[in-house]
Amino acid sequence: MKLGRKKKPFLTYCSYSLSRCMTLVSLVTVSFFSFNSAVYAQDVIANSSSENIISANTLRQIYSMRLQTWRDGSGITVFVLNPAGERHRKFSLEILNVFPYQLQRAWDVLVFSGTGRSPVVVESEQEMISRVKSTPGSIGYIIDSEVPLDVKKVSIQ
Amino acid sequence: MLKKLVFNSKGRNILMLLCLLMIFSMNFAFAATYKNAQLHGFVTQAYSKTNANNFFGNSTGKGSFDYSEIGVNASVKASAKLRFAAQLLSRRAGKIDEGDVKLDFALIDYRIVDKSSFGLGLQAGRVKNPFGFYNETRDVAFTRESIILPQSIYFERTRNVSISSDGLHLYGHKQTSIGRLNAQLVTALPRVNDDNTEYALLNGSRPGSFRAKPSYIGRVRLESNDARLSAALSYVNLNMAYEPTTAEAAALNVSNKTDIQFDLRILSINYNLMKWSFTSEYAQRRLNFTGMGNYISAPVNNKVGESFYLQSVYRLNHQWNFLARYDVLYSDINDRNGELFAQALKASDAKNYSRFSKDFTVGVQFNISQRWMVRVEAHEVDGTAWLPTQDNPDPEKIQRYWRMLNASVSYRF
Repeated sequence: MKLGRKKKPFLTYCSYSLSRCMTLVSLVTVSFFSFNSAVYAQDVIANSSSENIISANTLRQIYSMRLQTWRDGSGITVFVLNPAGERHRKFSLEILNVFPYQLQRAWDVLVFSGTGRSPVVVESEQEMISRVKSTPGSIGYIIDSEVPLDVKKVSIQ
Repeated sequence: MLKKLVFNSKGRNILMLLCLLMIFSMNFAFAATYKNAQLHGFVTQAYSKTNANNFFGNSTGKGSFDYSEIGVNASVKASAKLRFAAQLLSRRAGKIDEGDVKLDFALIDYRIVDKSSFGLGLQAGRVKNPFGFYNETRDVAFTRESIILPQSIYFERTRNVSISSDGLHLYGHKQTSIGRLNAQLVTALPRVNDDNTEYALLNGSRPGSFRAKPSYIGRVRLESNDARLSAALSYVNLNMAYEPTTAEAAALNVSNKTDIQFDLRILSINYNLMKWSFTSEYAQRRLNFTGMGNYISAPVNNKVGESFYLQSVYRLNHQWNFLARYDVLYSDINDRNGELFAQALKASDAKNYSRFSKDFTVGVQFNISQRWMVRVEAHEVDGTAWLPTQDNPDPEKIQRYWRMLNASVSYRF
C-alpha cells in the first residue's frame, strides 16, 4: 500500500517530464523545418488540371514513377531538374525523404526492364514553371524561385 | 596498351562501334522524350585481365576487351494506362555472347488499377524475368554496383535462359502501414533456342535442341516507405525438354521423353543509408534432368546448390563510390568442398574446385556526370564453379586460385 502511494507521484513525474521533453523536441523540429523552408522556397507545383493536395506517400510514388494516373484517371507527367544537381538533391532529400541515388536507380530499373518510364528533365526552374503550366496532368517542383501567382502550389500532407 | 587498341584491327572495330554509338546516342540525348515516346539507351565497354582462367574472352596474357553491353529501348504511351515498350540488346562476352542484336523485351503493358493504395497491371509479350534484386536489368551497368554482378547468383552460364521469356507478367502492389508490398508473377516460355543453353546445361554445343515448357517466376518484395529497407523473396521454376536427333538418342542413350527442371529460390535484403548501402542475397537452386542418358552423370544431377553474397557500398560523395563484396557459390550443398564429386568422377579426372567459387571483390566507381561512369574492380577467386566453359575449353589449363582485374566505361541516355 505504502509502496503504491510512493510510486504514483514518481510515475506522474516521469510522464510529465517525458511529455515536456517531447514538446520541446517537436518544437525544435518544427522550427528547424520552417527555418529550412524559409531559406528555400522548395515548392511542389502542378498544372491547373492536377490535384491540389496529395499525401507524402503518393508524392513519393509519383516521383519514383510508379503511379501513372491521377485519381480521375488522367495521366501524370513528371518533371525534374537535372538529377545530378544540387536542387534535385534537396528536393529528393527534404521533400520526398528518399536518397537521390535510390530515386535514380528506381528510374533506371523501370526504364531498362520495360516496366516504366523516366521523368522528363528540364534545364531550369523557369522552364519547369512554363512546362508545368502548359502540360495537363503535370507535376514539378521549384527550389529557389517563388511560385508565380498563376501556378498551382500543391500541398503535401 | 592504347597503341595496341588503336592499331590492331579488332580494337579499331570496337572503337569505331563505340564512336558511332556515342554520336547516335548524342543525337537523341537531348530529345529523349518526344510527345508520348521515350527513347533510352546504355553502352558499357569493359576490359578484363586474369592471371589464369579466361573470363570474357582471352583475358589471360594482355587482357581482353571482349566485354561490351549496348542497349536501346523505346517506350510509347498510347493512353494513361496503355504502353508499349521494346529493347534491343547487343552483348559481347567472350565466347558466351558475340554481339548479335537480340530482342531483350517487347511488350504491351496495361494498368488495370492504378491507385497509390493499390495497383495491378498486366504485361504480355517478351517480358523480363523478375527475380533477385538485379536480374531484370543485369546488363545495365547503372543498375548494378559492380562491373560483374555477384556470379554466385547471376552467373554467366545460364544468363540467356534467365533474362527474359515469352508470356504474361502480372504485377501489383498494396500500400501498407509499414511500407509498400509488391508482387510479380511471370508465366511464360523461357528462351532456350541457342547454343548457350546447350553449353550451360549439356556442357557443349549439341545436335539436338531444347523445347521450352510453361515456366513460372514470382517475386514478393516489401519496401519501407522511405525506400531505406527492402526485402524480397523470389521463386523461379523453369521447365524445358531436350529433343535429341535419332543418332544422338541411340549413341548417348537419350530418351524421347526428356524433362529438365530448374528451381531457384532467393531471399534478398537491402538496407540503405546516406553514405552506406548493404545488400545480401541467399539462394538455393536445383537442376534436375530426366531421361538425358549419358549427357548427365549421377554425381551432378539433381543437386541442391547454394549461393550467397554480402556487399557493402560506401558513397564518399555523389562522384566516388567504393565497393566490397564476398560472394560464395556451392554447386552441391551436401558436398561443399566438392570432394565427393571428385571421388565419384575420379576416372575422368574431375576437380573438386569446379564445384565451388569464393570471390572477394573490391571496386571503385567514379561518376563523371549524370551520363558517364567509370569503374575499376579486382577479384580474388578460389574455385571455378561459375567459370564459363566456352572461354575455357581446355580443362588442363584451369586453375583453382585466380585473380581478375576489370575496368569499364559506361554511358546512358
